[in-house]
Amino acid sequence: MIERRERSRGPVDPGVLEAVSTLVIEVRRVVEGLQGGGHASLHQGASVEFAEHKKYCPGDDIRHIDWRALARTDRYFIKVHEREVTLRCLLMLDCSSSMAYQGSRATRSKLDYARVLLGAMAHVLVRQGDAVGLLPFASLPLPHLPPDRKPEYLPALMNRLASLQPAQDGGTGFVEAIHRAADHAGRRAMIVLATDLWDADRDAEVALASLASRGHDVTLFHVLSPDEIDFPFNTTATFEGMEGDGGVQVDPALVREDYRRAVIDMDLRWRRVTGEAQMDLVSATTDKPPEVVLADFASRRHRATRRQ
Amino acid sequence: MTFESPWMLLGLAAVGAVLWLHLKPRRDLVIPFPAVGMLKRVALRRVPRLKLRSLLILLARILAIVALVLAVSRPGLTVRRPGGIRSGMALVQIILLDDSLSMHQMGTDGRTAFDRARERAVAELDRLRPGDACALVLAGAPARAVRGEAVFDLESVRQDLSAARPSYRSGDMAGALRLAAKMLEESPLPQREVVLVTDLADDMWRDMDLPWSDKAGVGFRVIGAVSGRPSVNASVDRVKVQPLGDGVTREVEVEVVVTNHGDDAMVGKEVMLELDGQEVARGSLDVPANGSAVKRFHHRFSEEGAHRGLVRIDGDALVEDNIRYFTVVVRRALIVLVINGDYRPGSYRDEAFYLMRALETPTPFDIPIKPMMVDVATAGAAPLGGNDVIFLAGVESIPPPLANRIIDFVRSKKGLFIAPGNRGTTVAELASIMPGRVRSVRSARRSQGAFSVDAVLRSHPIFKPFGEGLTGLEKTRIHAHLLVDPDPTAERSVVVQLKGGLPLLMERKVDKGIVMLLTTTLDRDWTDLPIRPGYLPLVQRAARYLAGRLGDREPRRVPVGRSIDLEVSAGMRRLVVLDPGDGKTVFAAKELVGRSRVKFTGTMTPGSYRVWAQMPGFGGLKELSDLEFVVETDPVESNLTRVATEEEGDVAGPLEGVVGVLPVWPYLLLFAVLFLLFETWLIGHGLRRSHVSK
Repeated sequence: MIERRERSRGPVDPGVLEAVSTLVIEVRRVVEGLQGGGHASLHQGASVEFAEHKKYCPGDDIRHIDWRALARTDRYFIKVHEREVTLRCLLMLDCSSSMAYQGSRATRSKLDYARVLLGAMAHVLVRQGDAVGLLPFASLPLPHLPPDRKPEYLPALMNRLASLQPAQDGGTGFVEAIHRAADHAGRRAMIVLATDLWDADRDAEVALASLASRGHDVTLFHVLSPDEIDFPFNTTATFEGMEGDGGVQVDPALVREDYRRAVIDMDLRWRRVTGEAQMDLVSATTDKPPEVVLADFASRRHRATRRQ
Repeated sequence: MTFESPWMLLGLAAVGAVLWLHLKPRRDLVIPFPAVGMLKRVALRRVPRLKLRSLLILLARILAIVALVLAVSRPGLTVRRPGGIRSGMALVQIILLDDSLSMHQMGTDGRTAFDRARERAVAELDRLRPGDACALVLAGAPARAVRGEAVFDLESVRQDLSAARPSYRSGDMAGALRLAAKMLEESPLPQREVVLVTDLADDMWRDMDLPWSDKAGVGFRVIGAVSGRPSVNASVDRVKVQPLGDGVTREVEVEVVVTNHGDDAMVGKEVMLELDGQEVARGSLDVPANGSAVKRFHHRFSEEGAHRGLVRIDGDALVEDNIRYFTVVVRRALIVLVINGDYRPGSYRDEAFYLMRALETPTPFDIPIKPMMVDVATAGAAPLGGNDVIFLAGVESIPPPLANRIIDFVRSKKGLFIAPGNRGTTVAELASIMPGRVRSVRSARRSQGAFSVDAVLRSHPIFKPFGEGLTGLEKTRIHAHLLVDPDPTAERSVVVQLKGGLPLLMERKVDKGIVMLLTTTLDRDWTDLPIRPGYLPLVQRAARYLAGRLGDREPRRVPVGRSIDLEVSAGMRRLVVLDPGDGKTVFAAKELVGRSRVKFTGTMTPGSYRVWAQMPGFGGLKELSDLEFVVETDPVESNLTRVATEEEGDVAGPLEGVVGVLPVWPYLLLFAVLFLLFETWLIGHGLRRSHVSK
């Protein structure tokens, strides 16, 4: 009963929400939105942010004529302002069966961890007036929530997050999920994926790169249990795949070093892929507090925005 | 290759179990894990190496099992070892040093065989290395180990060898070998060897079996300590002293047996007799080669009592056997008059037939009994005073004058033994000294069977030597006996009692004499007593008891090294044994109290051993001539003939076929441990068994 009550209030602990309440998540790229907001848009418009002067042409709104410039130069100039819009963010959550893994040292499964991570992020984004949507994915298509900026939309999103369960059958449907995201995100949105990337192959890399090339600000939270990184097992055992990919009987002591090296290689590969496609890759190990991961991410974003 | 426990090889079946355990499908722990794809790629690269490792583990296990099973079946390699075993492993060596009498024999170099034997033993000891163990066993009878076990301190064994001296004992090679086998059994060292250093005297090898099997892996070598032709030796083998006549003249005959152990006859061999420290006779005799000759001396002693003497012959290679000691107790024989009530000369039906046979039979160390049988008529005319005891066997009546003379005879510290005839009548004329009044005869009915002996008065001097053992009377069947009413006024006692409490043998003291009454016959008319083993000791000891000479006996003889029991009388406060070298062994009162005999073990020197005791009511020490004994050497030791060998040194001889077994199980055990360590190392560094399955 207690667990149910917690679930009804959402997947994110109040402590986490409090920790992320002061965070501001900025976009790295310019985005497009319907309403005015805090993020830079490709289009000029009404805003406090001055962009440039241009010569008055017939048809321009005379309200935008800079009278001071006319008095000084005796010429008509129109003041052009940069338009600021709200952000559309699509949160993608990997609900494949491998996300149910918790490991010996983490306090929650990867899915729970990703749930908290994305929930907290949604909270931050809605608080700063951005529209947030949710696209869970697994081997089979799952219902999604389109982006919405209304504060009353947040509980519905949280409930949706809380109700998600790991899939019972194998596979992630990663590429299909990317395509769906491309369809639902519209133009130049922020797309955040929380996944363990175990089922992400070469096609997934291409699909992600294609998503980024369309102008989306793509961020990848690589959610892994510490056991998946260190492989700390001692006794010979049959390690059974969680997505119907069979088993292997090994003595951990013998393969541990090779495994760790392979995990590092995989991480390096994904960093290269995301770097080339101007995506962000954030390592989210489930023994690390999610608020810390989010804070790091927000801080990194802030620094990157200032550099631009 | 031999196996001490071949049935242990059945353990090789365990190899099958190892194979099965290794190859059977494993039921491992199943762990759900997301990154199985990556794990498979990693494990696949390891498969060839893992297969090799798994094979090596299986091989190591099989080899370890095989080595272990072979080790516990205790295999050994059959090897001949003329020079003894010598390999890298530690050795336990038992040196059997012959210290018997024959080792006194003098060699041509002026050294005794024992000196040379000790030298060879030291040389054997020098061959040992640190870590080896050694023990010294002296092979004179009884064989004894100088220390309880083989010791690693070889220097102490060297000191034991220096301290060893030849003895007068006979050889006890079998005992020495048994001791050696026991010590080898207790030693943990892998190599075992027994070295016997001896003069190779022929007698030593009689009936000798090695107390270990050929498979036991024990090396056995014999080292001869003498060389050249066997020395010429003669010995005084036996001295027998016996009284001549009835002993009244105190004249004895000393019979000396001299044996020539050489191949050449001895002519005019001089023999000397010494008594009480003085040479009293000398003679010569011719002794044939490898034969014996007898020399007899006659001597008359001036007084009765114990006299010590010796017989000596000329010196030769072994002087220790040229003397033989003896002690003679000069007493006249026990004279027993048997008055026969049913005289039938030569017939077993004779009333005294069995009695005479029992009295005439000589017994060792006891003063001989000289019985004389007469009928009643002859007895009436014969003087009685020269006799010690009178037996009335089946006498129904005697003339009153004879009766009076017998009564006087008894009263004058003599003894009378009365037994009825088959008519059941006894001499009524002697009723005044009888232990009881004869009432009637009691015969056993057919239905109830014969009467039997119920109890024996074991504290009585007649039965004292039997202790709590059998007296030989237990199964005696009695068909009829006299019913006697004990005389309540007389000092009498029942010595043997029938079932039902009726007396079978009674005695009564009459002044200084004793009268004994047997209530059944001395022949087989009423009983089977005469054919029972208890009959002879009963009759002889009764005669000696009645004569007051139960303690008279010849000194006992014991071989050198054997213990002897000395009887302890009640109240004895001190017992002193004086050996021929005037050494004293004292048994204090606390060692004597409550004991009937003590054991004297100091019989190391041949000669006469005199015994004194402090008796109650007697101020100083009193010599007990009946406890005196003579310690003698074993004549067998005088035979210096050797087993077939010409050279001093290692001898095959009777041991030619002996081969040793070199134990290999320690190596196999080592291999098993190494294989197990290898297997542990392999497991610690890789998969015991790994395969990739889909």
